[in-house]
Amino acid sequence: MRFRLVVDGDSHDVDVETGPRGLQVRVDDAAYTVVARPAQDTVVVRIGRRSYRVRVHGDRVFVGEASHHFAIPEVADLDERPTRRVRDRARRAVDVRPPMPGRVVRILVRPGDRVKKGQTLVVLEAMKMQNEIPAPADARVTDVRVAEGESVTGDRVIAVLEIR
Amino acid sequence: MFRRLLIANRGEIAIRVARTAREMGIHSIGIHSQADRDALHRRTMDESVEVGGPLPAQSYLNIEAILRAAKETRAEAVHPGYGFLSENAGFARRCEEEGIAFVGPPAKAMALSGDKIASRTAMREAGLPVTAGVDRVVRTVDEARALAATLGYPVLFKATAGGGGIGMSRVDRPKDLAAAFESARSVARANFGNPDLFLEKFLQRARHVEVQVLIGGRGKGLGFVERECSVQRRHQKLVEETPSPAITSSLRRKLIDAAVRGLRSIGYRNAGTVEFLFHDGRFTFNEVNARLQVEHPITEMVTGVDLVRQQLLIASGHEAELSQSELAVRGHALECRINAEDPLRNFLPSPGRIVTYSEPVGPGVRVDSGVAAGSGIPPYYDPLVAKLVVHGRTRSLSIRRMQGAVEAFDIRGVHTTLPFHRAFLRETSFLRGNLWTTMVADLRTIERIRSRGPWEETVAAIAAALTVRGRVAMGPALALERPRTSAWALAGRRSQFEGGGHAVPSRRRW
Repeated sequence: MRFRLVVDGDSHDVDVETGPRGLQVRVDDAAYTVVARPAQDTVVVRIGRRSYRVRVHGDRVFVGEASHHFAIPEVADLDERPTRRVRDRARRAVDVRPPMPGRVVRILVRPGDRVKKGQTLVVLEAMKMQNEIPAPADARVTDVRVAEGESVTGDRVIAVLEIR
Repeated sequence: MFRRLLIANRGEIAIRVARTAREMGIHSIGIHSQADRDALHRRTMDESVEVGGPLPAQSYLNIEAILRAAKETRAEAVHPGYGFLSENAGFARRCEEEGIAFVGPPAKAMALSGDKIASRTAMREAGLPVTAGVDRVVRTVDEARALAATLGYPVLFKATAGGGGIGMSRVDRPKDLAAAFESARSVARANFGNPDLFLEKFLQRARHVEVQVLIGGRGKGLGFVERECSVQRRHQKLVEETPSPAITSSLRRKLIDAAVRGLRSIGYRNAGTVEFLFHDGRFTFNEVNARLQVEHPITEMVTGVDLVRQQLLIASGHEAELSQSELAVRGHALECRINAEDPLRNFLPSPGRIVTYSEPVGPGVRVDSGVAAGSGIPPYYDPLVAKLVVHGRTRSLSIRRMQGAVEAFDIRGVHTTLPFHRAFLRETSFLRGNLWTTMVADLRTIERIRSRGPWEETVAAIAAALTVRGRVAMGPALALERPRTSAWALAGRRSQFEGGGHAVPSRRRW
């Protein structure tokens, strides 16, 4: 299951799947093999040679002696980019979001354009580095929602594509 | 000595310069952009002037706004730090015109250092061995093809006005030459306003070695023991150390002598660095950095010299308060650059807000930082947030100190290069002192990073427990329906956990 987990204000993309040797837990693309065994009010979690005693209580979680506040603001496919929005026969609309906040330095497509998978839609600059945002699939551009020079956050939709 | 110094920079370097200024009784005047109103460097200065909007061109590169701020605050000198205007000869000249001392080399020497072809020519004339290459602008693909055939592949296109590792393009085969030529030109035009390229032989398995130099007002030169900065990705340094494990003492004397001689020959003054490539037992000149460098603290750690203090002394007309014989090295120092970049996503920039920040401490540990808990990291500027520096009696001791320090450094809220350092500091080649400029890519260190760190492992444990308890399956909507827990109930539960008192019975709602 994919979800967003915020612990003490620090937000992470998490994916938990059942694997042959326990749970496969990914935290922001770092993979951990985890064995989690419930025991009364505690869950004993083993990661490699380390073990954690985790107790969940309301919106707080206790790891050993330490207490943390947690929240799960999003669950499931929410972080899968592109996000599937509408299923209209074989077509579907896809929101393109940037992988990071930054400033739009160039827009290379216009509404109505047909784009190939991997073709650059927008060039985004952050921290003196330019990143090309590619089309996730062959598609038609239905909307471009940013302007050159504009600063965008990571959850902002920069373009909408229609995939056939 | 000046009484009022304007520091035309931001982040860790502005704070580091202000620290020395304060120690010398100099009033520090900062500048900040609109995006940096809450930045740590603004709060650290004795005073700070807002010079413009968030984009560098509006603020930290805005020469006239900065000079206006300097005049309004009656600054007698300007320290440019590194990056931004630090190697802008036009800025140095404008400071001279306004009667404000520029803490750096004279504009003329800076302009020469900034022109890669001119500096190669000047260093050759001063008798330095220069990396094989072509000392003129390469104008066409055909010309490049002919020159590359003479030099032998692989070759490296470099922007004549380049710097900071930008505008370099390596070519391994003749068929890739045309595309590399065009892309390097467009990158150079976009970044430096000048598309001109020249060509160098790309040296495989070379080491990057550099010498810090100080030249006083009367031309007295001091050369420091070399720094090795071979640990790079995309031509940008990640880990630096001094002394280099590859340089013998006889070679060291030659390196230092060459660096001091080279800079004196171009009328250089103040602090500068001469970069060399070391390969097959010999060194060749690479380029001059006409500024204080990011990695200067490791030199300070092994010599006990405050380089910023020396810069300020020289800029105010004094000589450096040292002699060459005082520059003996004690032990070994290492620096790891902590950037807001995600090493698990190919160093993708990671701007955001730091929610937890805790620095390592201990013997021989120094942190030059530009951030604190709660700091925002704007997307407009360089990703460097802190420099972690350690000093040890031997190289192996300083590596062990650094291994402990990168484990203990806790930064949450943004991704940083810490997981890279935790993995890299255990690479066998690095531990053996066997370094080369493409080692990070060749060893596939990034692909082999397994864990982000102790905190993320705790998050993984929490995620697993929440999944097993069925909390994730309930989804976020439930959080909205859940009644707020009263402070009384919470206090009751807490006392239950601590084993005392009469608890509110836990309701099996979850």
